[in-house]
Amino acid sequence: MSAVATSGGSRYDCVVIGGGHNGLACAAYLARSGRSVCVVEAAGEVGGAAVTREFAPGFRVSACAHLLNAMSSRVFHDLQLERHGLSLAATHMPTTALSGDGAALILTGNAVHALQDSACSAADRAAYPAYAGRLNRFARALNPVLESVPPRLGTDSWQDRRALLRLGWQIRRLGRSPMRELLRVGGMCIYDLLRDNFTSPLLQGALAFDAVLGTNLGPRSPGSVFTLLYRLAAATADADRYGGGLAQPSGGLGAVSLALARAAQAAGALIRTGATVQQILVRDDRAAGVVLTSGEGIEADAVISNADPKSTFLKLLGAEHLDAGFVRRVSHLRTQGLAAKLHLALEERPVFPGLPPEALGGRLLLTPSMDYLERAFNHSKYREVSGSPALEITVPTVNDPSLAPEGRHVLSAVVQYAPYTLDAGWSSERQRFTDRIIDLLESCAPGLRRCVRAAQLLAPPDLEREFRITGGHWHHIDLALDQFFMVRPVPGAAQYRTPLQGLYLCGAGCHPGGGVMGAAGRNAARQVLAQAA
Amino acid sequence: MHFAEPLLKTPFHDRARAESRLDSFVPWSGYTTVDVFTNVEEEYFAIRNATSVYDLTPMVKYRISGPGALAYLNRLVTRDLGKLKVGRVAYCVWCDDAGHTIDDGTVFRLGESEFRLCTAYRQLDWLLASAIGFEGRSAVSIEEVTEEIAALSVQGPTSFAVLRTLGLRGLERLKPFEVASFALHEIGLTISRTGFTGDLGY
Repeated sequence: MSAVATSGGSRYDCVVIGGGHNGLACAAYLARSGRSVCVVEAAGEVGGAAVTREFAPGFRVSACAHLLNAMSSRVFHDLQLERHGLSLAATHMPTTALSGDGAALILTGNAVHALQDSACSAADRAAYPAYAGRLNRFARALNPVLESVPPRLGTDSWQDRRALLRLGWQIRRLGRSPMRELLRVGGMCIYDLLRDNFTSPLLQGALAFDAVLGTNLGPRSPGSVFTLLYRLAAATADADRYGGGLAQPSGGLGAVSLALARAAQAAGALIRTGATVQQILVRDDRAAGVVLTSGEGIEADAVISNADPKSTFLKLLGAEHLDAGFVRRVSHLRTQGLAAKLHLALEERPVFPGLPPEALGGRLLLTPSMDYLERAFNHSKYREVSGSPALEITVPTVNDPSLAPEGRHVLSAVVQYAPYTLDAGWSSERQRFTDRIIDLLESCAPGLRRCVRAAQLLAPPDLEREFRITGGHWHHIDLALDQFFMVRPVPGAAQYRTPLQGLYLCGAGCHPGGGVMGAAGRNAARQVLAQAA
Repeated sequence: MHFAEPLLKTPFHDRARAESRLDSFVPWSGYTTVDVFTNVEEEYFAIRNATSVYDLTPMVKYRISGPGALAYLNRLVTRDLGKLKVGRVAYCVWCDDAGHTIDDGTVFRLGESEFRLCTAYRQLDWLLASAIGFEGRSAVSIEEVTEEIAALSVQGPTSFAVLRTLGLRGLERLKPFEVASFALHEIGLTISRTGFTGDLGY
């Protein structure tokens, strides 16, 4: 707005708002193409929600995202992240499902290993490879979608038509009966699909968890099969190419961001931390740069926002620059997070009785059954925390001792469900909920409570504040069929361009969405370059 | 009780009923109003050659105020209201995102950040949708005031002569598309020189 006085006079081809991993990837691609690029990050360090932080003296942890499962192999290789310092402390990490009463099973690739006969029936073990193989085929068919700019509907552009045809061909190519199966299960809930395939509650619970992780869905919510396919699409085909699978970077997720930052800097991008954008500068109905809270102005031909869509359009740009119908669609986006993060500083390595040693280097799921998960979800519908939440647990210090003092350990858990809005309020619920989670952990790892030196719970309002994400949703906006692909975040901004000329989006609120992938940043950079050419 | 009285009566209802020869009342935006008093031709020639009075109370009226009111209205309508001085009225249209006209109406600037929008149809949904994002220093408040403000349209070449008999001082200085406040028997009147005939009218 013209009312804001600006001082200083730096000028770039592109300015990127926010140095999250997508913003950094976007900056790196733009700089490699010869653009002058400036990244402005409000926090004191780059990374956004892919960041490693000290949460207790000497104890560091991936503060939001804590595993790499969907990193775009193209970004990984294009930007030479290994050369820029990224190394993986663990790859192809196994998933262990805990029942909470001693039973467990381990999922690796296409096999289930039951640690007790009671954990999983022989029939389910035999049925699992076919089930996993089927979903992975679907996922591979959908994977190319993630790396491409979504097409628009009803245009004359041959690019849009080609993209739609390509998607149709990918699905058709599966063959008649698998195609029919994909279309059948796509809108189903994971609860029904898993009941069709298995009978063992522990296996069902573990498989259902990935369908609802980081979403506003329970296992019985329609569309939860779709979110699982989406997660698999991001993971399967790509992971093998960079050798990752489910992986843990050395130094935590922040190491991914640092490598991306180095790649961007090596290509010539300038990265400024501690620089908070107050608003996007608009001149002659196009984005002309940004104004920082210090009053400093940075001019640019293209402004690319890594911030979430609501922050970008409603706070940084301002509704008066946009059409009312568009603003209404943006304001209706579902952006409230439902996942919390628990960090524990432990005096010693936690012991989960009965588990083989390698299990602790993987991820542990506490979702004993689909009903357990659905019950946990029920509370969230009425603005309560789960009575017995589901947990995705990692002990990152098993693979990477550098995160804690010698001999000490860190436990990092994603906790569902923890709604953004609680009737009782987070200030009164925080301690009770933390104690409840530690109780659950104690039931799986007796003696753990005694070793807890410090605990930190980041609920969605904390994630909102720490990472400047509206609603504290780590995918920026909920992942669901109606907020995906061609309509993510909203029609009119789903091709990384926005209604305001010169303004682009590059964050998790765009296709292909959240998770540490970097694909949104890369796709956005391609759009910026295409526009200028 | 709204169910017992599905159509509201305007403050001029009893007076209008007394003048109505045909008892021809029609529903209009939730009110019952006179369609024809005597016959259409007579009324047409009255408005073209003398003066007619038309009960406009059912016209939908919104009070739009607050520090962001001007910026809000400027975003809403296709016209630059920054040029509209206090005490002036402007015809406007507003459109959806595709540029299709939703409705037209008049905007009265009653103060620096005090406006009245008069429309033919109810628009609250679109007005509120357009207000999303106007917060804090650019906050805007929108309220429907149709039932609080009665309105008459006094139109025709002799309309000034008619109104002058009411003793409204200064009315002769009111220019086209100007609005001003007057008092009549201690009742506040807002009079604008606007109308639908393209002729003299208030």
